Amino acid sequence: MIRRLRRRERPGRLGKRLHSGISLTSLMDILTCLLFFVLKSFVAGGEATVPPPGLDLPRSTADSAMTSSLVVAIDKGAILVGGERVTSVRAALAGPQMVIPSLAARLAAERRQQDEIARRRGLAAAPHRVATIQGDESIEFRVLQRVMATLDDNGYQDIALAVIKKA
Amino acid sequence: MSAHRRRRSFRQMVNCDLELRPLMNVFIVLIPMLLMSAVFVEIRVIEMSQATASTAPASATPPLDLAVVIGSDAYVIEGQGIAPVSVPRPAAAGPDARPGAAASRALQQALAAVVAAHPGSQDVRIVAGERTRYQEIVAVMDLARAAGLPHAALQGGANEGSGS
Repeated sequence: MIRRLRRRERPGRLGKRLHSGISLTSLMDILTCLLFFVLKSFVAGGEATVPPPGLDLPRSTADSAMTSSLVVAIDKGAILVGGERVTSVRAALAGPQMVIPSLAARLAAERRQQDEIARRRGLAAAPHRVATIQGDESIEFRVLQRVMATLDDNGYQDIALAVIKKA
Repeated sequence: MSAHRRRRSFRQMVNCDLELRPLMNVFIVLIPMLLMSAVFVEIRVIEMSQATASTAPASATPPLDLAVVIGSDAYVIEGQGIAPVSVPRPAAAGPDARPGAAASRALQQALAAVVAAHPGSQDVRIVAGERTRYQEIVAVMDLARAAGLPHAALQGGANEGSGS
């Protein structure tokens, strides 16, 4: 006697399903780990350490690690604080004064912001402030000198020069 | 009746598995883009010292006050109680001016000799001209550090230490 298979027992669409897709979950896990590694490699203390585009840091044998600090970048044409353009190099070199007025104003604003954050956290204001200068290797010393003088005049006595470690 | 059975036995299968392919596609596009835009270099810092009076307790002997002056045609090592040492400085070429190999070697040896004669000295002032290139200043600081002078300070006032 021919027994007719019930619908549920028939092979096909509603029967035994063949899983023919490629399992890429493992590959996705690898990519996730790689993504976190790449992000961690370029962030130090919560701040990006990559210099602005077009800025070539000088090469050095120094091996001190970069810490969380205010970053002042000096490229071939502009001076940037925290990634934002503050003034041009030409304007900074204009005049005989060592302190750059626009940079000083920006540093004062940063200082007030840091003090306000510290006050809201219930902490005392930092006794000394740290700044890191990312300067292009081709800039002249007079630009660097004025930036350092402005930083020193605005409470940033601890200054570090960012360099690229020689291989 | 058979039609009623067909309607009752019909089950709409729902795929309840989590669909991860769109997320994976985003990562496959994002990771190569990040890798191509990333620059795999190690960024380090040179911590500057203040070119002021030392905080060390006053001693009977005056401080060395060692300085390396980047002049127009020579590096001059001078300090308290030592004879100035001059190392020829080759004509700089290009924006990334660095001391040549011979000048670097001579300068480092001269600094090491000064450090050997004055143990305990770790401070040095790099005196540069207004137009001295930043890379050259960093190179001189590296030589000083290699010679045993890790604490460097910058100072202006050299006679046209031009880097161009």
